[in-house]
Amino acid sequence: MSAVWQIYRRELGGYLVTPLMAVFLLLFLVLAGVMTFVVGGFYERGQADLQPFFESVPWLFLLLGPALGMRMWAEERRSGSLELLFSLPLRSSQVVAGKFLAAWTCAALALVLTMPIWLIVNYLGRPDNGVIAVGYLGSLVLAGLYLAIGSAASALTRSQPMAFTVAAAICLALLLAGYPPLHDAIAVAFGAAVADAAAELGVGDRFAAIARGVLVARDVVYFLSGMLAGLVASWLALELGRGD
Amino acid sequence: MIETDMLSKSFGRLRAVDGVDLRVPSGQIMVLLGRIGAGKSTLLRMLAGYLLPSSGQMRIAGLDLRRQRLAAQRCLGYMPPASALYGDMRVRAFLRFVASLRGLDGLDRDRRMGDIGRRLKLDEVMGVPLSRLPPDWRWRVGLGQALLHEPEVLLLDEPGAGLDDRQRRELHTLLDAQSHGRSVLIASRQPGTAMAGCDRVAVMHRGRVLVDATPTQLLAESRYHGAVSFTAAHAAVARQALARLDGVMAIETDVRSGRTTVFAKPAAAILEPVLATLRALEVGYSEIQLERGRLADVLDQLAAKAEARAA
Repeated sequence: MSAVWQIYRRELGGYLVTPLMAVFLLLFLVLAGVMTFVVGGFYERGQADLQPFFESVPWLFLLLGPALGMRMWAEERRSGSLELLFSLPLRSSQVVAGKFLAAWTCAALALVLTMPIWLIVNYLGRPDNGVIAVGYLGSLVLAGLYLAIGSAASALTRSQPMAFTVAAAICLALLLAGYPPLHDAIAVAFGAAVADAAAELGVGDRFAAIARGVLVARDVVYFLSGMLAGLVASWLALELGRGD
Repeated sequence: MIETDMLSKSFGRLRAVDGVDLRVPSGQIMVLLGRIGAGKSTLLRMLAGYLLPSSGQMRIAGLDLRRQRLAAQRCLGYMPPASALYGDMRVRAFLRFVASLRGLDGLDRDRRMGDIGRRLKLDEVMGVPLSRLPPDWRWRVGLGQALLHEPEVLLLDEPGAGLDDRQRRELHTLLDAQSHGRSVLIASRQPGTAMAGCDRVAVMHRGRVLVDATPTQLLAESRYHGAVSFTAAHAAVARQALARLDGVMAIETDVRSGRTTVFAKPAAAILEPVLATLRALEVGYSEIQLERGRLADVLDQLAAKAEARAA
């Protein structure tokens, strides 16, 4: 645990001193504001909830998740510091866990910074705060899933832009998997069974349910197992990289 | 003790390290000398536990690196190239980070860091980010993190890269002082590193160790061994006269430096006759020296022979 903690601290420090991190956080907040208040019609809807915000969260993390994930391994490989790290008496799994938790903390920080919107809706009306809390929890696990995918993409390449592109493409595919027009197109091309299977892998419907306050075990298991799969893929890519 | 048996590493169809057998006992410094792509760094990365070998065995302090990797890594200190350190960290934070991951904590960690700071004169840069340090200070920090836990085995990858002559001399002095009682393996493409206080030199080419010998033995293989070199105002006159001496095999003048080298026949001692001839000629000679040999020359010869054999 101590090794995971040390790596977590170093990585978190690394994120927080990077100007790019500040830029991404600022962009995340500005976009969150625009999507909630302008595009989502926060005031016009006349409802005391955060649905417009939570509808935008999967798209916002499509930017922030891969951005945080891309530097996890690609930068270490490029600079050579991975050599130093793996010459220390550590298990790869400890390094993967430490780095992931640091990136996840940054995603959590981004969500915390949006909490003034929660305060605003409480000031203006009487929202169901339990639903909003579940929505934030869902946003956090969604971010974890995207980050785990970003970690795996980053472990496969030395190039940060490449890692970002691959991770964003996979996350987008997961997001669109249950989207009706795409479902219909897949059904026409490959049959209804394939379209249904693809939709099962989709993030959109599951997250939308959580954002409405509907927390079912199946969705929680989906997000957690997706996260675990991404982390195992990262670990595997690193281990294979040592022997290639 | 560092031991490898028929150690090999392939990347696809490229055989980067090819059947290397090495023994570096405690208290000995060995330099892996070779050009870029010779396989030195790959060998070191395997010994550091970063890369897995394709075949063969390797042991650090008697521990099998494949089966007991973590235990073996506790016994070694690895200094990667200077650019491979975390540039965004300050020196103190970086050393503390490495020390913690090596299991050093609390007072013990502070004592070791203080000790390393004094030995490598790092105290004045402890608060500076690594990215702002010049190369000679970065390698000091790199060496410091490798020594924090007082390892039995020290692996250093290109420690002289990017340094000028004065900085390299400082590095050799420091390395010499820190190497006592350890097995030290240094990968370098600079023959100067091999000459400075090491016990053995293993010349690598295309993944293989061509020769494993003492620096003196290697220098004796150089065609410059026993040659006499000097600078003269009238080199052409000197060359004509020296060519007639009995023990002289050949004479060359380097166009860029203007330095003339007189090569001796095997077992011939030509210093005295050359000196006597130059004095008699009054050609205005200076900087005369008896050559011990040149490792770069030996490296070229060995590489050429290996290439010829491969062809």
